[in-house]
Amino acid sequence: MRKYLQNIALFFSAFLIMLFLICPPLRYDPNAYLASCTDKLDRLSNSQKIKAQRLIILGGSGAAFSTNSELIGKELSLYPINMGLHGGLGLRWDLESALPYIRKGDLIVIREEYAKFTMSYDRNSPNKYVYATYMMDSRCYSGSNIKRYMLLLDNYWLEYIRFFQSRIAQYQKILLLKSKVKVKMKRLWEIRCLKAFHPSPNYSRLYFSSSGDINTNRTRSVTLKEMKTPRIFERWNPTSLKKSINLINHFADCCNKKGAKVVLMYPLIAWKAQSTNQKQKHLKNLHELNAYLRKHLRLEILNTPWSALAPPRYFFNTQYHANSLGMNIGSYLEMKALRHFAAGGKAAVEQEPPPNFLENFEQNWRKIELEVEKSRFNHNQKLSQ
Amino acid sequence: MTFTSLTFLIFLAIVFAVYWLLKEARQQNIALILASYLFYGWWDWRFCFLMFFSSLVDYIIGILLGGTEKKRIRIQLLLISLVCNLGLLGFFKYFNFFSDSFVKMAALVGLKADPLLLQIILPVGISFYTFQTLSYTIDVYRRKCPICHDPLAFFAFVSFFPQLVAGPIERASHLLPQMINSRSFNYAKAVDGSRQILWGFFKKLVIADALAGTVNKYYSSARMHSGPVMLYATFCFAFQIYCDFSAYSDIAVGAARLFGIDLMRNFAYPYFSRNISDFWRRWHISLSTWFRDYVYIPLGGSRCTRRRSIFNLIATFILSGLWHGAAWHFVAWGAINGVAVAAYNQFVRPKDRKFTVGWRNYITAPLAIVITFAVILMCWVFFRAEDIPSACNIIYKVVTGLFYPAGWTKVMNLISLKLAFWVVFLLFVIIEFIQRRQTHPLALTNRMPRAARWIIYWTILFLIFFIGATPSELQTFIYFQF
Repeated sequence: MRKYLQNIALFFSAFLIMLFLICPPLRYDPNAYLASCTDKLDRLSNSQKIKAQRLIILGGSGAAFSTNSELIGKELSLYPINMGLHGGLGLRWDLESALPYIRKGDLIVIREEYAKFTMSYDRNSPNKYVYATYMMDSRCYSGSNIKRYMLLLDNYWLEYIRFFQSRIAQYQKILLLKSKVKVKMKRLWEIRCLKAFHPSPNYSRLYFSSSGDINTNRTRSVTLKEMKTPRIFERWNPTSLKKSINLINHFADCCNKKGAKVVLMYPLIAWKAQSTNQKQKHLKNLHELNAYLRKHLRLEILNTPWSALAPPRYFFNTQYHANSLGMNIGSYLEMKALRHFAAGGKAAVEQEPPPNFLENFEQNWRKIELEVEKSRFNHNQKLSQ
Repeated sequence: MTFTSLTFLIFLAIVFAVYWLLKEARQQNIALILASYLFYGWWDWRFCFLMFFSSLVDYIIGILLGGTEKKRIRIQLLLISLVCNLGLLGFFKYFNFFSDSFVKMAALVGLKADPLLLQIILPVGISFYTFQTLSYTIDVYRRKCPICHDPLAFFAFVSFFPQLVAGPIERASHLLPQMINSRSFNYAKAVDGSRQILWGFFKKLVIADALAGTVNKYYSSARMHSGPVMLYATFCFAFQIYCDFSAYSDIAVGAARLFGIDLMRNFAYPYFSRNISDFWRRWHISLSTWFRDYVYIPLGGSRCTRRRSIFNLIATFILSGLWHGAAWHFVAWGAINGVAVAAYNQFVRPKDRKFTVGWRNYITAPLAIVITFAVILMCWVFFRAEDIPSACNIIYKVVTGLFYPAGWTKVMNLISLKLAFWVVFLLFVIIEFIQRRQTHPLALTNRMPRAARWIIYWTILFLIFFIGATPSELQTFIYFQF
């Protein structure tokens, strides 16, 4: 018995030593992409004293990459704060982290990725998925910021204790290492063997502008391989959707009580569909989703999902991350819709896709491109570059 | 508490320490019973009463059978045990299935009946321990097994936690004597058990759970995918279910060996079988032999007319299919296997020897393995598909789409996306093939230097840590649902 226990202890001790030799301990990265969550929350919190009316954009990384909030703010004379950060944090994080700092007169734009409405698992509650995403995503791990994130959760103390328990037990750390090494190994493989990996410099706290947009010059276009058909195009989960709607409605009610206005905008998304049948199916699903949201949401929706379907050339690495051209065009459209809304106009939105939508898809976008080129917005955009 | 959770590892370490601190068999059995009920109650404490009831009935009936020689009373006692055990199993597992099927059948002949469906939770592992306790009563009735007068040993036999939830389904004649006799720590046994546990973890976390995602993805939308893709998904499922279930058995057998108890072997490298009959001698051995001893042979086995023996075989396989799940596609799966085994026995087996002698064996053996595997794949479609029409549709797609180049390009893309995994998978198959004469692939002899052995174990541990499933990717063992 003693011999067995000695051997087992020796075996696992040697294994752990090797594990820590092979995988160096995690380094705290203050410039990690998600570390900017504190910057965004600070801006939101500090700007409460500013007299100007604020434009707060809530969303995932799509909002950070595709919205030039600074220019929209300039055009509409609003103080912009782009809270867009990371889709994996979930709708609840986006809404509830901002809620305490909302004040009278704010204009809040919810510009969430479709996945957040329809995720089959429930990321909209402080559960293991949110926790796992934050803990496992190598971009997220940013030292002390995790504490601030934990404090925003319901039962935060429980999560906090769990967090420290897992840290003390080293188990979580091993998992983190594992996840990191997994990512590293995958990348190494891609660089050495597949030569398909292009490190993107855009994922860093340093590239956020003061208003919270990602301000880099992105000229690349998204490849078909990088595009995934969102779940919403294929099928959507009504249970998750109901939960998301409840969250948004609750948020909108709270904001309205404070005297702020909340609107929803569908995000600009690269559209890939192989066949006409598939396109028709996508449009049908979007139409159903739009009708459902308009029926159940207690806030105004300023655009339609099909008007936000854009050609892949506007995107640089995923279907939601616009390149410089996409950011310019997307922001122009958002600005136009917001101006109309701010002027008190009721959004005149068609209830279903136009009959010749597919045929005129490219043509319509060319027209919009020309419109943007002629506009003062483009002039300002060039100036800002 | 699943085997792949950290909770289980802590639980196992505590039970191991407490168990070996106790010297007497009686005390060790108490520790095992408490641990087993805790383990089982972890899912739902109410299930413990069910297991207790089942154990109590068979313990009492065993003693009553020992106290009488009258055949009529013995038959009545056996029937009470069968009704109690199969009644519980039937109620919890098959009530809704039969109720629903009855309504559908009635509708076919124009009768209208309201389905009576109950919200029944299927107790984990009920099929396994019911069969285990039944085997005791039947063996005592047949006078093949001595009567157990020690309630602690009997309750420990029924509830022994390593094999409680998904087998191996032990025989009383094998496990009960081990529970009655005192156990002392055996170094070689414990080391071998630890190796088997490690191999089980590797199979489950590295192979089975990695394949689960692919299988679920393509089988959940089977209509949208081409034949080659569905063939790929079925291939993945074949190895997912093998690695999942045999991993559970490996961990169970290994954990039992830590307690000085030998469980029967449940898998013997089934995918290297050269015919379907051989496959069923190597796959889920404890269940196959159970059905052989308690269903097939009592029905007459093969010592009867040709027609009758074919009927016996197919009926046994149909029952085996139904044991797996209360659904018609499981019944179809059992029936197809039964027909395949019967066809092999009638038509191929008599000519088998001609082709497997001398040099011919080198050609026919790999060919036979491939053909057998193809038949097994076809059967697995019925096991995994949601219903019989879906299974037929998948098979139709696979057969008609075999020469569809775009489908194969997709498959190649899918493989290239997970190239690192497939390299490990290939290594796994090679290791299993090389070690196929051992009880498990890590059964290394002491002739190999310790350093070499440890390097192998460390490599496996590193693979588990680095490419194994993360907690969010973990899948429950497939056989838990049965």
